Amino acid sequence: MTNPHQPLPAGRTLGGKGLGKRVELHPKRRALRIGALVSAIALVLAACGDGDGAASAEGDAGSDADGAVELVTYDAFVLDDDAAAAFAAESGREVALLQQGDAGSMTTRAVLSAGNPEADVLFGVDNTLLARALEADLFEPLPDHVLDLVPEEYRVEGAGGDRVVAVDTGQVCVNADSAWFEEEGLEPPDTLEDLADERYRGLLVTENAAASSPGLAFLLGTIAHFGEDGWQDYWERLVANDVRIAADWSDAYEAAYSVSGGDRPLVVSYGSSPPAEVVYSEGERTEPQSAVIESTCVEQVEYAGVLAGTERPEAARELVRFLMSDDFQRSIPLSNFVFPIQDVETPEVFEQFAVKASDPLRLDSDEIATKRDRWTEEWRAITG
Amino acid sequence: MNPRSVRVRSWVAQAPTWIVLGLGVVVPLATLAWAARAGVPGSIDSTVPIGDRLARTGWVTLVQAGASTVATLAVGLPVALVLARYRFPGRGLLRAVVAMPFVLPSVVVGAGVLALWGPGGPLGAAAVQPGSAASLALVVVAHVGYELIVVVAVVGARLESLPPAQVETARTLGAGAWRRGVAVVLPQLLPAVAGAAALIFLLTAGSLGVVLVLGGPRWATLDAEVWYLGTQLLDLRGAATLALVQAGIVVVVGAGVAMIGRRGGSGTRGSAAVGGGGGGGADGTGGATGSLRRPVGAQWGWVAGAVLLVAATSVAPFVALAARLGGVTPRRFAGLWVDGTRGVPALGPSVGRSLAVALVVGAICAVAALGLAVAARAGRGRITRGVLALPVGVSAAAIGLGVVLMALVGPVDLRGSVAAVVLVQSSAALPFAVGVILPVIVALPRTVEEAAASLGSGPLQRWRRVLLPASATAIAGGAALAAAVALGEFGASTFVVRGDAPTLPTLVGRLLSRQSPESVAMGTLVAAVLGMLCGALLVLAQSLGRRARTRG
Repeated sequence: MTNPHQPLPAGRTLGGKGLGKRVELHPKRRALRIGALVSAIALVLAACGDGDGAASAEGDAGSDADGAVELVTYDAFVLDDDAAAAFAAESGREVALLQQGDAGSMTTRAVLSAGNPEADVLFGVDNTLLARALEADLFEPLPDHVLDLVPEEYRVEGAGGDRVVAVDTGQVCVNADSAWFEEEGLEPPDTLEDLADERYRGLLVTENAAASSPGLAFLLGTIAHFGEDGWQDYWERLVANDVRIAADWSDAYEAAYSVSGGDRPLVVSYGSSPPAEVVYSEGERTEPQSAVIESTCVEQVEYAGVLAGTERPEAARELVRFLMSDDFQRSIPLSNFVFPIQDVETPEVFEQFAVKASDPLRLDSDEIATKRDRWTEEWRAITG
Repeated sequence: MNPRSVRVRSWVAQAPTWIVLGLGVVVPLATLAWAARAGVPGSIDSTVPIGDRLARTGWVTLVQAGASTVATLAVGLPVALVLARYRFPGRGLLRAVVAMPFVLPSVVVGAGVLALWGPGGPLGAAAVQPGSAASLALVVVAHVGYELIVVVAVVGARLESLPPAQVETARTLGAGAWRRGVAVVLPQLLPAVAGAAALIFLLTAGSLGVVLVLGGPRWATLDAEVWYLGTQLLDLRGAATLALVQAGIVVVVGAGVAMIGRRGGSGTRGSAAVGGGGGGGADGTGGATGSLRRPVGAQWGWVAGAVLLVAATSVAPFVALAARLGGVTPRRFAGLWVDGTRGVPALGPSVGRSLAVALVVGAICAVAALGLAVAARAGRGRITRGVLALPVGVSAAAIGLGVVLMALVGPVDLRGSVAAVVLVQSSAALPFAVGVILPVIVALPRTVEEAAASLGSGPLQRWRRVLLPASATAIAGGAALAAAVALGEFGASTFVVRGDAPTLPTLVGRLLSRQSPESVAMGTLVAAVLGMLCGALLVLAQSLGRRARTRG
């Protein structure tokens, strides 16, 4: 080939008279330019992404950033419309929800973004994870007038206790499909021990304790009940009795539980699931089909706090205060089926059907913090 | 040209690659090392000995990857044989279909298998609950579709390169068909089969998206375990440690595979994963059409069998996935696009954001790959190309976690920034861009350049006026492929995207992990959209790649 341009399509050569001069440009400089271009793009993009973040560094000194207050929480959380409207009327701001999986993965994400948060307020870290959240310096201190809203017995002692408020409590309990048991002519189980009994073989579905919050609570309940050396044996018996491990609560309750159309009449859910059943039936049911097995109930407490590094510290504190207000507290039994932390009136259906065991199973929060992973790992080995 | 200036020039040309690899792989890994030693605030450090964890996940990984490798070879070898032997209508299409899943997002492949074989799928009788013990079957089925191209590319290339004369000689000497197969073809094929098997084992052992969507924690590979520890269990130190161990294993095994590959005579195909799959058949596919025969008689049965196998593993899941789109009314889709639904942000901005980032990544990767090609043409950059295998093997979750930890245990805070997303996706996509661009540029005939040089053009002018235009389609194809890979990147992105600004794969992962029927339906829908976008980019990449090859 003599003509170097021959194999090229017409018009594709980047010729032109100016080229002659630029040929002198050293290739090294050209490559440097490419490198510089790449870095420049990266920097521009970084600047775009960090624009808000840079402002937030001085957020505390100046006024809050504009826009809605962002509340990061778990998937299942529902913000009552009236409560949201009440907050908007009070503060002039909307609440934007950011839902990040279940309580465990939400907390993990929050720890991974500590100091550079994805939202202004976090709600839903529970007693099993609180110690780690505090250790990671997730939260900013709260003013006393907000902290004082928490009833005495639910205040958090020790370091970091001034950074979170307990917003609600829940109880994780085994629910039984009464209709199913009646049909089968079988007495529903009464205790944790019963669940491992041959009569109830293949009936229970629970959640993955390594990844799901009620699943972990149930595991902790069995540890509280059977002791640190006894629970393993119990779980081996559960596995032998064909317990099903669902990935999460939805998978267990909405897919596997017989009341929702599945094939398992026993499910690890909440003491407040029966009223939820009535409410969600939208008039079809006046009474729940599920009964709560009270001796299996484990207490869960959910906390909220202002995320350190927020761009809207004022509004964030305002939102946390609002979570403790009567307006919000009255809304949560029916929006989230948990027990308000404040002594407020609860709706009738809740009053009537929700079960709050007077002496639920409890484990010390510090003990959970130090041993949780070993327990879940052992649990995985037993159930894997 | 003096040797020193060649060396300097080639290093400068490789600089963009090193920026991407350095910031996107090396620094995150170094950060993990630091975090594994010094700990991370807030981490629930495991009291479980790392050995125990390794033993459990290691065993699970061996079983899973072993099963996946055997199954892929069982399906892939007949397909490779048919493609290498016979000429039949639709051969090119079959080859393209086989290549497609390899570069499709893992969450899309997972969602497809779930849509077909999972609960509520058309093969509902065989329904397997994701996360159950039996879900290993789902993982293996997904992996077969995913890795089929590796067998077809690696073994197929070897088959095509066998001189037909050899077999003819054997025939003339009176050897029967079996004898010819066993005594002549098989021995020469074995190294390629071993290489393909090793590569598949490596890739499936490092599978993340498919395992998360289909297998759950029970079938967690090392990568998935890193993901669980780092995103669900808050054991950040454990995740960092495990990620490092994984990276170590990958480097050792990867080097071993590369050596086998070299001994197997696939020389230039050191990064077969990259060139073979990535290029969607950048190597030896249609080249040897001359030696292809028209099937006669019973041989049509082989062809039909291959077509069926490919249809079952590489087509049916995506048809099932697309069928899910059919169930959505345009109105509902418009609603999802603009407003989203509970717990799901509006789809429109997510698509826009994902595409914008992917295109930037495509451009960056094209530039970096071009630089690397410049160096390779000068016979340099071998080390860089070796290091380039790192992002293919190292757990994407490890990279993502490393970038996040750069802020938690180091001074660089990229969390939630677009730059972080661009960075991790670039490091994931770069090997693919290189796989397409580099071979084309290296193969450009030197005569053209020499002629241009003899006419007095300098090196820069030669590049701008001769080499660049001649490789423009390949560069565009590489960029498109890199963009497709970036668009589907899941493991690392999941750590660095902002929760309120997800990319499509992270959104799919989030929705499918919830497992409520409603979420799974939404996740499947988003996966279908993502699959189509990636598919469009891949078709573009492939047609550009084909044009580039026919031109050369």
